[in-house]
Amino acid sequence: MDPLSVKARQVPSLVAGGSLSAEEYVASILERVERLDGRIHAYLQVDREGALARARDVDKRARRGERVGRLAGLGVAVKDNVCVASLQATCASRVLEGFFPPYTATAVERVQREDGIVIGKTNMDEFGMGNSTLNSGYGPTLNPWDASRVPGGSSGGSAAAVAAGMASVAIGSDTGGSIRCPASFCSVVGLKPTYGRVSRYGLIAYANSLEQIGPMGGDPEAVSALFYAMAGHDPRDATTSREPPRGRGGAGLEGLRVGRVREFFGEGADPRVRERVLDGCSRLEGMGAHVEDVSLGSLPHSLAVYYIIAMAEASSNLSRYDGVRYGLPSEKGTADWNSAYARTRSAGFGEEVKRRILMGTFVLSAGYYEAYYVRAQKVREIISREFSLAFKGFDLLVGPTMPVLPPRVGDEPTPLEEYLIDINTVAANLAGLPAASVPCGYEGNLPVGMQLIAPRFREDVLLDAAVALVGEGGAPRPAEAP
Amino acid sequence: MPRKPEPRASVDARQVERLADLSRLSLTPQEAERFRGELSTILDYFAALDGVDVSSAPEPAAPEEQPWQREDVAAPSTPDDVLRCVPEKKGRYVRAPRVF
Repeated sequence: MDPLSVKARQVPSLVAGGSLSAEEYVASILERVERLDGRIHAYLQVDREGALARARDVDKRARRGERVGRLAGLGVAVKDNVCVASLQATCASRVLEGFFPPYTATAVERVQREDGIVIGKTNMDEFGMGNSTLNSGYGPTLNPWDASRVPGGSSGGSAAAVAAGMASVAIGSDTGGSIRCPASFCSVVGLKPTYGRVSRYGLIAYANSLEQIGPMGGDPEAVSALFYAMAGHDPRDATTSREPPRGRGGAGLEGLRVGRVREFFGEGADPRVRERVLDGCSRLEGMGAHVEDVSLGSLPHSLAVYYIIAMAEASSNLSRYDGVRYGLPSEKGTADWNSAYARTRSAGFGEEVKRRILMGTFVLSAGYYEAYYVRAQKVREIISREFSLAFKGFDLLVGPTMPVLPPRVGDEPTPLEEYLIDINTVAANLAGLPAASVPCGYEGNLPVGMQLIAPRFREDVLLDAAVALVGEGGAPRPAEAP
Repeated sequence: MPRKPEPRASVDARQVERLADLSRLSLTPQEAERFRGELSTILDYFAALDGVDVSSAPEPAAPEEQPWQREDVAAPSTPDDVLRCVPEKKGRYVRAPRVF
């Protein structure tokens, strides 16, 4: 069978009703992985046997008329920084080679409880540090729309897998745009939930005050189902909210107050991207939304604030990689602890990771802490307040997800140039707000995504808007390479 | 503590060496030189925050009330699964570089 002949949203009910075999459906996804992934390299590891065994189990229960879950049969690609017991978790870093986590992340456990089927672990920028998936210790992922372009990052493998039909939906994580950037570049829907909405138990930490696990996929209804399966309080993550997730109204966009954020269309934005997103805004208007311009004056500061905080948290989090308890063996020999530790880390970490550890160590060091870290936290507070104020007048804030089209693989920007294209995505992480990227047009065959930001815990608004914008057919797919 | 130590936005070779030492990274001379330049450029960019009026923002602090804290109750552990991840072992002991 062709897995693309079935909409992802329909798979669970077809499987429950016995008219679609989960095993056959999953096997057809695995067949696409075999055929296409040699070129795209979305996956670091595919759990063929495990996926088929689980699918057979779902079919068996469906045949007996027993209850099957709300995600029954859906093939789920999981980013490699999210732990699944018995599958290697590397975060695309050599330093974690050989690490088989002894437990499964709560988000994945909940997906499996609803009979979602893990297809494998996806490639990413090492530890989530990047927006290209070129910074992987295991080779880059390419964009299924144009293999000479990057898929975005850091959840580039997850985005490429769903875009190429090598998974029904995917799990990503987003610290400063890592779900929304690749969703934009690969023309899928990606949702970064509110800080505290999805448990991070089992997410390998990069920057704790910023990151969230979230769903991705071409079919917004399936993305919505995946979100609600993962969301909710978890006693193992004290930052999760006890408020139950707010269900979708399912209403149209009639009367929705949409703010078009001037700063998101700023001077760094490619005019072609700007045009497509303005078209998207017109479509929102066509569906009954009231669109108005709004300005958030502190947004241009969000990038510096984000990088200071993210690098500081990273330098602390990544100190755990010593090569003694797990991961890359340290070169013990006669070396003392500190030099063995340093040698392991220098061999195991890639360049971008080292750069961020060094920068983070700098901004936290005596004499600089106040000037950088404390100051960044204060500006962060100012940015959050500005969003709260804006949401008094608007239900949704919009702009381009990424200010540029997907860059070419060989472009080699400087580190600062690479950071700068995160300018529109980082603010939602700083303020803990839910934000999505939704496909909104093409420049030639290159996708453009529109970012939607909602007030805290209003993922329901984002998902309703995504469904309305993408429509019944789901997001378009790239032509298959010969 | 001075808010703006001088010189602010440039990093010299000795500082990179010190940062690498604190970070437990050993850098080749080429890496150290490249990072020195890149770190300076990034810090220049961060300097834009100097112009922001932050007088309305409170000092960052951890909340004192922590209602989410739970009782510290012992639960079953998974020592065998954890030990399986250890790259070098001697029996059930973790082999580590010497500390002294």
